[in-house]
Amino acid sequence: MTNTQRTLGAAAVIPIVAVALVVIFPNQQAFLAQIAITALLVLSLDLVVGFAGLATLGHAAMYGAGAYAAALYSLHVWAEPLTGLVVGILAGGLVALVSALMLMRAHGLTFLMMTVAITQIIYEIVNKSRAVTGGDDGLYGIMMQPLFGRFEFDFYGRLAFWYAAVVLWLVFLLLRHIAASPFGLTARAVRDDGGRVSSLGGGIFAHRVALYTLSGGIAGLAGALSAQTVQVVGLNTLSVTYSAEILVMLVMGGTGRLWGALLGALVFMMIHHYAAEVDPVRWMLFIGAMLVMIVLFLPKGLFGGLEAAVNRLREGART
Amino acid sequence: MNNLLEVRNLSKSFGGLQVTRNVDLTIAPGDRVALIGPNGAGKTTLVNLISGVLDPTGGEVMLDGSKVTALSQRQRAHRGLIRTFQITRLFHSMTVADTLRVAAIQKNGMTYRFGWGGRSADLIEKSVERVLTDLRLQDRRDNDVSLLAYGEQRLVELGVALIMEPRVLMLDEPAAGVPQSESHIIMDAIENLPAELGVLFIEHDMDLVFRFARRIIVLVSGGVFCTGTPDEIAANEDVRAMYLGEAS
Ligand SMILES: Nc1ncnc2c1ncn2[C@@H]1O[C@H](COP(=O)(O)OP(=O)(O)OP(=O)(O)O)[C@@H](O)[C@H]1O
Ligand SMILES: [Mg+2]
Repeated sequence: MTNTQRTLGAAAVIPIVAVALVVIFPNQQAFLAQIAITALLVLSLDLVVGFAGLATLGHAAMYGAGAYAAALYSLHVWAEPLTGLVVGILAGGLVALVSALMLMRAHGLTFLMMTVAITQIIYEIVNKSRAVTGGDDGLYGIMMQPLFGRFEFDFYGRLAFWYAAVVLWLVFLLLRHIAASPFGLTARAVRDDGGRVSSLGGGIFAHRVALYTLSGGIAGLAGALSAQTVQVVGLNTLSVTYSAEILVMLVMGGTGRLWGALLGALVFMMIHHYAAEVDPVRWMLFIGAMLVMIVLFLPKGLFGGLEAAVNRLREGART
Repeated sequence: MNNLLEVRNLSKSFGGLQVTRNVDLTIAPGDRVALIGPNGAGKTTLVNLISGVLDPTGGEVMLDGSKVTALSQRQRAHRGLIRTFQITRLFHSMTVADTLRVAAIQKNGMTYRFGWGGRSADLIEKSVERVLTDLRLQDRRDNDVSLLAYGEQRLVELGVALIMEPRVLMLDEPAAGVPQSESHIIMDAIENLPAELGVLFIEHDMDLVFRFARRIIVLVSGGVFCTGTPDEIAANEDVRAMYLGEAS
């Protein structure tokens, strides 16, 4: 395969899967929209965990910031969706930038604890600012104007799904491009050995801040999509618990490859949806067991496992 | 000729342990200076102090006549002061070509580029190819560095430094761990370094030292024990007794 073929092939995956999901689950588009938004969020998390090599329990802070900002914007300023997405990106990016200035000199456990602390602080601020944020009631009654002034958001989430899927697709293509760029290569180098990059004259602090801010912007975008399509924003979007949940999705799918983020979100959300229907209490047990199996037997996650299996089949076909 | 690098009265202590004692040294363009001394003499520490990995407890480091003692390792690298590591430090998730690209990206200030277009990207590819050819690593271009033989990893470590087009290059035991069969590639690479480059190299292998060095500094217990031409050092009874004797 040439590079161009590979790029085109990769670009086709999300549209094909999107169409397939709509065909298989025709009456579940609101749920499918949730999957696409979650996948976008997990994708942004992969920048921090996979590309920067930093384990975080605070990623929801940027997601929640984007969600609240987009909700407030649509309630009080303008209910136009696309500018709302920009507001979400800016809010998530700003929260990321400010926290990165504190976070990015820390490592390991210190870093992890600081992500938790920052997220808790933001959570409490939003909780206490009841007049603006609705406190623990959250924000509701978000009514978006038609997309491009033409397409109405329908009750069944049909538009919501395609809207979220297209955004996910574009961001995925962008991130694949960035991953292969000088910026992306430097990010991997900083993760592998930051001191070595310094010895070559690279500024690792600024680079980490930039990467974290990019990631926060995308998380904010996902938050805005969620606010616009679910039409409700609650405190849970900002929580450490939710941060942990998306980290589980990423680890299940596999870190550092972008594909793993997509696969992890899809599988987790499907299990959540169907297992919770069967047993609303013990479905987490199933997720937990699955996570243990993956960590033990598929260190590169579901995507890594899938890739290894495909390679083995190819080898087999050749001989 | 003016000195590129000048070290004045440099000292370093870790707690109560003094590992660098009032070291003076100079490197001019074209210099080939060997730094030798027994294990634990403080050779690597001296390179760490000069490159900015460690802060000295006393003394100054000057580059082109101006003090850089307060500058970070990164800023010194930008001024052309580049070092390699005694124990190879490569980017373990990368291929050989990507490892070299990372160095070239830092060198050319392209860290915040989100694409590969343009003239500077071509320059990067050219310099990567040149170093791959010089070090005879063309066949290894797309191999993961972590899967290379250690000797080849040492070559990549040297390649990373070369791609930075340094003005002062400090090599910390470039041939350590390289099998005899491959060490000539390292030697050729050192031999073919740009003439105007100032080189300080740490080496235990006396054949290498006497082949390349035009000046030798003997470091003992963190201090300069003596310095001289290879002939002078070879004739020095104290050095022979203490160091060369021990090494042979
Ligand atoms: N970070 C540190 N903290 C405490 N002591 C250190 C530190 N780094 C080096 N030392 C000590 O400083 C002394 C000099 O070490 P250094 O690595 O500079 O020696 P060297 O001449 O490079 O030796 P070798 O030939 O084995 O590489 C040693 O006694 C070492 O234990
Ligand atoms: Mg040493």
